[in-house]
Amino acid sequence: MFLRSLYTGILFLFMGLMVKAQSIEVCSDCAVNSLAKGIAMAKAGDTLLVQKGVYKEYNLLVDKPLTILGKDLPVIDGEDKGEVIRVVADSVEIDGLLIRNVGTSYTSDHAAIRIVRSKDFRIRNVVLEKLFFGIFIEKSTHGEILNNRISGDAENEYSSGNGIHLWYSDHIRVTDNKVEGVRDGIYLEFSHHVNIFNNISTDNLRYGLHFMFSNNDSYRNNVFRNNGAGVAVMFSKEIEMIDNRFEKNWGTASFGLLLKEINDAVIKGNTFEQNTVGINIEGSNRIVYEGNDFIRNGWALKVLGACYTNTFTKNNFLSNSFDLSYNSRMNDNSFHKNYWSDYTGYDLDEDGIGDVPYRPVKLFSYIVNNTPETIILLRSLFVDIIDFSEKVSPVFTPDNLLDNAPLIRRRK
Amino acid sequence: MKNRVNVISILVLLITSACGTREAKPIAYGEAACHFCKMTIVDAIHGAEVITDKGRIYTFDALECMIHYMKDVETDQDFRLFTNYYESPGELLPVSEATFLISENLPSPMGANLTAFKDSAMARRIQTEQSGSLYSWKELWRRAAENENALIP
Repeated sequence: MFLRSLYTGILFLFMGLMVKAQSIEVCSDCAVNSLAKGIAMAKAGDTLLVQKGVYKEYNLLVDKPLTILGKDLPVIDGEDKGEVIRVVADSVEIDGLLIRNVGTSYTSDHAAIRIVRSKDFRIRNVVLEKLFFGIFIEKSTHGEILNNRISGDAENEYSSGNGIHLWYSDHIRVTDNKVEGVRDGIYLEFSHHVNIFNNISTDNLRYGLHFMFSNNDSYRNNVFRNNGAGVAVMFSKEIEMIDNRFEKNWGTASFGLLLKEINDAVIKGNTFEQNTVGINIEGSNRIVYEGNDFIRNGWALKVLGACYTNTFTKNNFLSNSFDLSYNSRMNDNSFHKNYWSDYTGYDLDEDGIGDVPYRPVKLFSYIVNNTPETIILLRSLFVDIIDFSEKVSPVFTPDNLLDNAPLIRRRK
Repeated sequence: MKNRVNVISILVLLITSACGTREAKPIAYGEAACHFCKMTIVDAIHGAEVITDKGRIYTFDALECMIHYMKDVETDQDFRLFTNYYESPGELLPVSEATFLISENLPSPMGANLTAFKDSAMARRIQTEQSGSLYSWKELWRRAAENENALIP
């Protein structure tokens, strides 16, 4: 008897699996003329095929595993009324929609697409316009955010959110996205094991990429250009930052990269070009800086507060106003085999390494730290003279702060 | 002689007008950087401001940053502290007049989940909606002073 009911059970189970995932078509003159109807009708595992058109809908709740597939980029217009799509089920895929006019609010972070407590989601080929928050991932894991275009028209921070926002979300891949004109392009808070590859984040009001309290993350091959304040990596551990470009972040509070309380990170192969400060480093320890290019920045590196056991090797410092500035008299960081375009030494034994050490900190940088207005004296003879005298006999700059083996030729 | 009086009165005028009135000055959101953590200030309901005894103004992106800063300076001078509050973004309120809610469902910029309210009834209402616990400024300050890791995630 028991065996029989078991067989029946298994049979029913197989039948259940054999029911084919259906495809439901949504178009303006179909029987199903809205996404809300389509979602209500669909069973778990179905595909919603959304035809070209404009759908004025908001507060759509996806509460079962579904694929929402847009054909020829259909438009979902939220008409500024609130959140557009909220996903609360696992294995949801959203592909090829244009979502616009997300409602703005001070107290609720309305998003074009919000994923809540779900896993195995995938958002791709989505275009977001006139948004508040773009893609908001909340307490979700194992998802993919791929090839989306997010363009906000943020003018002030009041009425803008972040493009891609990860909050308490782990194991997420953020790849090939383009984000512009929002508050922070990509934002991570309490999110670990996140890979951020090949994205372009430009013209955002605040940061191109922003880490808060997030560990074991990696970002590679991204471009961060012309953001209000560059990229900020704060209060995080074991972050990999490899082969990225940080460009044209100009302004008094702007940096290519801002590091605050960062430990055990790797910063390799990046290019910092034309920023007010290439990397602003505060309270950060055990970081390896290797093979980066610092080109035409105001300050290539600005080190503030206690920073211990950092190593700088094989970097190129090319035509920066200041290669390095310190605000303390002690140094626990090492500089080895970097190329400094300001180096004026010689190489008699022709081994490619300068025979006299290079002192990257100019005395004048201390004066500018204390009295920023003195910067107008930067190109004066007087400053050249005090810098030279300090170079010959260091009094104010840390005595051991030097590159003992400066490269003669630029590392290729 | 008369000239000198004029000069002196002008000087006095200049000096007194240069002295700040020690009123809260609106935060330049999107431009000003947090004095403690260097982040650009963008959140208009979580920002904060300190006016020192000398009239110097420091702005913060979050209340918790102001509290960490105040712990560092250890001053007994007459500093005036202001906070943004939930009901009206961008406005500043003396901290002594505010009620504070720590709720995991209301994140603040630096991870302490700390939000100020002008109206304590409003604070209680949001507390019932979002859960969490309420503090006065004194209680909040005591909590921060007693525990090194309070307000740090």
